[in-house]
Amino acid sequence: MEQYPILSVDNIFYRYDLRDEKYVLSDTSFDVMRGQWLAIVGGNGSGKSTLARLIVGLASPESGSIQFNQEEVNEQNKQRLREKIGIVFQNPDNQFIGTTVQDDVAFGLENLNIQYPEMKQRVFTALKQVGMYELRDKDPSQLSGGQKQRVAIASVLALKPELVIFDEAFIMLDPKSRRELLKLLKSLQKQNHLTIISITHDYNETVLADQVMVLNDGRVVDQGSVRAVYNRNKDLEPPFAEQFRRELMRKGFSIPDHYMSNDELVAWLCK
Amino acid sequence: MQIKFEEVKADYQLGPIRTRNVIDDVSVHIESGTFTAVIGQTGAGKSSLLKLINGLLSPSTGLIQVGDIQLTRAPEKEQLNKVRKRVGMVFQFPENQLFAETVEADIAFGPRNFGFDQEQINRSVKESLDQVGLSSDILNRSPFSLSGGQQRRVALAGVLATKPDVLVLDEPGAGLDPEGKKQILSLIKQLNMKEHMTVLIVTHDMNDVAEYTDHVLIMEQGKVICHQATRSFFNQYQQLTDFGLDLPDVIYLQQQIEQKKGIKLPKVSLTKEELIDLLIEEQHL
Repeated sequence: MEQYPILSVDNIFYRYDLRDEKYVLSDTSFDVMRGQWLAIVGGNGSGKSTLARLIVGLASPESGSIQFNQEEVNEQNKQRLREKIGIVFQNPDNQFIGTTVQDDVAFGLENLNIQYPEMKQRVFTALKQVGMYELRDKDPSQLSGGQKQRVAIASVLALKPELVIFDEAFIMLDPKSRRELLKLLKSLQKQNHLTIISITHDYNETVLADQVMVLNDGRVVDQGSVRAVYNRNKDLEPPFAEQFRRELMRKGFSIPDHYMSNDELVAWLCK
Repeated sequence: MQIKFEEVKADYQLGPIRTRNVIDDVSVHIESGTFTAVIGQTGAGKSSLLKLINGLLSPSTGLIQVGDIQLTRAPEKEQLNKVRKRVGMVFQFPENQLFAETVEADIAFGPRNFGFDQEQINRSVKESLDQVGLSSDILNRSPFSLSGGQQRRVALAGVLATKPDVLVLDEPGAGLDPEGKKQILSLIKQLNMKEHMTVLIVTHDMNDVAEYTDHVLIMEQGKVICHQATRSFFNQYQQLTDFGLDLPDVIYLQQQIEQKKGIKLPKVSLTKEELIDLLIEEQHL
């Protein structure tokens, strides 16, 4: 596998208005390797969604550069690069175009001039993957919030992107569908080397990531493994098992003072 | 203030085409001072149920009683005005409804419309700001200059300023970071405990159901399929799977411990503290 990162964000600065004194993102740098899952966490207003918009070229940084596959994202090539980068937003309602679920998933493929047989195959696979194939002839506007979100995800997966960004794209899903989708993404990451960036407040999502990056007030304040990040940042809401471990420690039990996964905690409690 | 539904059916009639009943024969009794979680899939009728309580939607048949106010098909305007003074409704993403130039004007809008005099308005603005834990320095600021969590609290203050007895909220924590979410839910819990407000919230998060509420009401296709005290609901946690619901994290952990140790703890814990105490009592810690 290549040694260079699929995405390299180098020293970017961004503000909505040049008259603003405050930058939404300052001096932000990080790399994502191919096939990696990066979770970006941080409070409301820390700049997470702005960062996603910059990566897909919906806005440009004031200074600094964003490189995708060693190519700097700019006005000339962003259309071409976007074919390789998918993004799913929080609210799927505004991105429906087709009159049926399958037309909607096919829309992006038509834009890429994919041949009909392959298009059909990709729509079929994507809808199967998100569990929406049975509803392929439905009008998207009649679906529930969670079903809409799945169609939006299918539309992006059908494009076979190399990198997908999920910007709190699972919050409307009921817990069961969310778990199923996360499992699917994990397997796509393993089998197809899909690179994933997930912006999230949900610790069930961060524990699946290989790397967690913490944004605060537009700056990267930490990046590392799930374990390392929760060890170092005590003010982040950790996964439940770690919350439980800290509670035990606070109550004076002699539990080791480092991050514990769910399995580790259960093992310690049952020793 | 208690709320009673008696054989209520309701739908959204648009032109000659009648949709299927979004609320389909609901009879339910919500006791005064309770904190109820309304759960169910999207499209199950959760939001419609809330709208019936403050007359934004009227039943096609049946009767709704809020305290001594009765709502039936085509209720009189006077009844609607009465019920809206008693029931405060907080919609999804309520900060989108902020509109005034200052926080003060935004919060004062509701009480002014309900005919409070200036002195009452001033007092209720101060009290409600206090209730949501914001300081009075922000009264003259634009609500749009505040953070998301603060905006949501201002929106909630605007509803509280009208002095309702019943508070209905549609996913009050959605889209907030964990800290903001915790603050808003604890705040609602306090209103329920201290001011004895009857509260109904729509939520997907079973952790919040376990931590904050005392009753659970599950909806499916317009019907109420379960209405139980939260604790007894989770005591029979096997039924959660039947309803397609997740276990709260703490029950999931308890279940894993029980399986691995081959034991069965005498009751189900709804908080971390409860589980720790239970493990100590049963000498597993």
